[in-house]
Amino acid sequence: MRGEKYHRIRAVVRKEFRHIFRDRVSCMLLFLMPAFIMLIFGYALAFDVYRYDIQVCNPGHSVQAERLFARLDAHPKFRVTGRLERIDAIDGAFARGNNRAVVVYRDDGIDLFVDATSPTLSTNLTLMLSSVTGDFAADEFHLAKPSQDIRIRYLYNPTLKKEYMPIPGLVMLVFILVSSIVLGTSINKEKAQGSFRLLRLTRMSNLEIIAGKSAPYFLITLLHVAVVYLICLYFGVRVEGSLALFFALCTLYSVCCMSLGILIASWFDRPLDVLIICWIFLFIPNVFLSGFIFPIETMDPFMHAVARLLPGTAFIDAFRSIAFKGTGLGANLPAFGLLAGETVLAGFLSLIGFKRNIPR
Amino acid sequence: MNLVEVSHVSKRFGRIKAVDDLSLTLAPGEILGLLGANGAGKTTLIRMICGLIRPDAGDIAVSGKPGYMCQSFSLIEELTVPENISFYGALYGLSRQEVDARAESIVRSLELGDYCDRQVKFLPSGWRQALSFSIAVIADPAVLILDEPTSGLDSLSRRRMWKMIHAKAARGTGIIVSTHYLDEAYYCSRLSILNAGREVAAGAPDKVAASEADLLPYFENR
Amino acid sequence: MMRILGQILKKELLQLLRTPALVGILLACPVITIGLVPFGLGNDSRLKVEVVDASFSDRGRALVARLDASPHIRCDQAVSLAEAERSIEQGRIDAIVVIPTTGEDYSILARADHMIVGMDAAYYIGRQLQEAAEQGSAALPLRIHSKYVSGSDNTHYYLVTMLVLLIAILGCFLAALSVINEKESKVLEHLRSTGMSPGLYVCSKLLFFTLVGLVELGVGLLIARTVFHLTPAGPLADYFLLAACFLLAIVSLGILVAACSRTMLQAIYIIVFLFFILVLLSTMFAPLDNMSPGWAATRYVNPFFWAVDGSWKIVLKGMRMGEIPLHYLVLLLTGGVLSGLSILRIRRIN
Repeated sequence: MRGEKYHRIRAVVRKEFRHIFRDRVSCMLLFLMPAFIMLIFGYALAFDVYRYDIQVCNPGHSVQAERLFARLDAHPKFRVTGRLERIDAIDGAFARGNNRAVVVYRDDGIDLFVDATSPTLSTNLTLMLSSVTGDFAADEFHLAKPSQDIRIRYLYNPTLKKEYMPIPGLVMLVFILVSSIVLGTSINKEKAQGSFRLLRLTRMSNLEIIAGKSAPYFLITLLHVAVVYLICLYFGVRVEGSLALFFALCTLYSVCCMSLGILIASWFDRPLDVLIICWIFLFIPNVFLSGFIFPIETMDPFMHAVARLLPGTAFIDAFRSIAFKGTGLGANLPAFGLLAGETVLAGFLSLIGFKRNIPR
Repeated sequence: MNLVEVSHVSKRFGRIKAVDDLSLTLAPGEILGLLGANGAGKTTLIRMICGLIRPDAGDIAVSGKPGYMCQSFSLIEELTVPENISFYGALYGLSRQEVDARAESIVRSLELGDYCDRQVKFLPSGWRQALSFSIAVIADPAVLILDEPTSGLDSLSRRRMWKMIHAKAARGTGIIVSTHYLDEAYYCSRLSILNAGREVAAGAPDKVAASEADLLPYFENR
Repeated sequence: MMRILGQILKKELLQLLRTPALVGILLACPVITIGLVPFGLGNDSRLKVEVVDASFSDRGRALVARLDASPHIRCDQAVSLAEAERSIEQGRIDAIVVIPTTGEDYSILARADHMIVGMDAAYYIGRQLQEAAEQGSAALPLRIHSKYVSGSDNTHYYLVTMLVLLIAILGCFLAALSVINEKESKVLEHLRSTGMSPGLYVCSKLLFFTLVGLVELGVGLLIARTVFHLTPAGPLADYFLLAACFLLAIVSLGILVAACSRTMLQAIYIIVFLFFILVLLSTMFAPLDNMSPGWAATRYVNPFFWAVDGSWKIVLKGMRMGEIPLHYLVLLLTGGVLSGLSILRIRRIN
């Protein structure tokens, strides 16, 4: 009996592999794109500033102003893109290019006009400009240096490797892409074509069919987990904690994503519906609410609770905790528990969905 | 005067020669049956005659815009029967009044009853096939091209379909029909049997083969 | 021609409305994307700092009061350094400041697992400590003027982003899968056999799905205005025109992918990966200021960038079409090129 089950599942697995490998374009995308995406965006997606474009204005034609402007232009994080002759030209400066601030040097102080459309960006910009102008003032006016120095130590990323920011989020999104969206639409397409019904006419149960269909994607995902680790090493992101725990986390998360993709595929009839739902209900919430872009601690209690339920949040927290802080299973039990629980729940609901939509 | 003239037409897809130096004609009121196994080149030839693909070599001349019925009905599933007729009627260039008149006549002839206001996806396949045929002839084309019009139908529905085909031919429409069914060869006025892109036999059905069994050798691999 | 176009648009509308699941999705998408997710977008962006005052002096207390009074910091006092370190390890705070006894150096410990937060904290606290040491010298007063303040938090900024994402996902995916469905079911073949030109076919799809996208944008804007009080500072007509140009580009991308793909799954794979790349490079999540010049240059061929940047400029900064003509031109050009390629590709189908 068990042997029969195994043979049936193996037949579906073999068919699925053939299906994957015979479509060369899709096969290439499935195998290569995650690595491609991580390599590209490991470089391209930076959350620390490369350079702010600013403009300057010296209405009083002061020599001190020119020294400040030279210091700003020489600063690696600023580029002075232009000079305004009149203060009323400030609005025009913001309309052109990507200018983020205008520094106006007057006799009675400095006016900083900052583009505040993004508070995060403007805070960072204001802090940096304040720091430069403060240092300038101290040098120009020979202010007494504080007797006590300030020592700054960065925890968990002492050398401020910029890859620490995007890598956990990128890994999170890559698994959503491959394990949820791709698998979900593939299963749904077969459902729509009627292949599931044909398989059910044999003695296969829904669980066996799903297991057979998912197994190849699971194996491909394991390959991606290994690739993700190698790319992390390539970017100098070392896993401070246990490697086994790190791999277990990545595998569990990708299985969770697969189960969510299967869940959506089981309840909806068309690949288009599955595709849109995966993007709207999986991709967007996990991008914005998982801590990928800004910390979830900034959210109000209700949204914080919602964010905590997202698999992406649990994954990013645990990733940072294991890889950057070197913590063990104990500190990450809530994340592992949530991912495992969501996987089981999604699997259970999928079976109900398939039973409903593909009765014998 | 011939309605269709295909002259030494060839078409290649990569390494595969789908149609190889083929020539045929179609006269008014004639039913030309295209027979052949899968991959013989029937559908490629039909698509070239419809103007959907260009031949690599040779010429094709067709009188007017042919009516076309393809293998998978190609109806708009979410629309009702009158809506499908309205839609395709407009595409074929009929005026609103003409479309309304034809829609009424088609719905009557198909005897749809309550099914008339249901979406096409809920219609049984026999009716869908008949609707697809009706849409193909909605603009009274001089040439009608039917790609496996009886595929998947029960024998009663197949008879009904051939009755409609013969009725159309009797009014002077030239019809090209491709089919897998050997018995349907004898419903046609002339046959063209294709194998690996080439015409291996042509002529009146009883001249080409006395019985269905005699047709089989033409389908063997070249 | 107009009658045929009208019939095609009617057919598309009926197909859409008669798919209940799809109608439900189209209604749910703006509600979730615009009405719910933005509630989580960084409401309290103040840095969370704990101070360990080892000086137990008036100077130390003055410093704590100074930090607490600042708009960028939420400051608490920690009983001990060990307790503060536990807080930072558990992610409850962003930085620790240790005020030393006289003669020793100040210490700032900032989290750098979330690098920007840590760096901001270090910068700001360092600045406050320096200014305090300079005894508030007003040698060169600094006045900060925030332009285009979009709200007290990131919500409006990201709402504009979400609107672009929403219409892109719906417009592109709907168009692509509609075309691939018609390809697979041979409806496209039948339509072409009636004499319908590939150009008319592509134009009808572009027109319909652009209109769908604009309707979704309207619904999304209404929700954004009602729930988050987002009112475009610039002209609404200019904003919708920008959205229409963007939809032309993104819908034609979907049609091109569908026309080039052999199967629906292949089309889905390609679109999903293309979307992923275009969205991440669009500056929606990592601003242009963060990109090196090489990567920043990719924006010239990325319709998402032009849509998002243009939207920020119109909605948040009150700019008009005349001030950002390049955005419209690039999107129209992109749409034109992609549509042209789609037409050529559909001509070659079969």
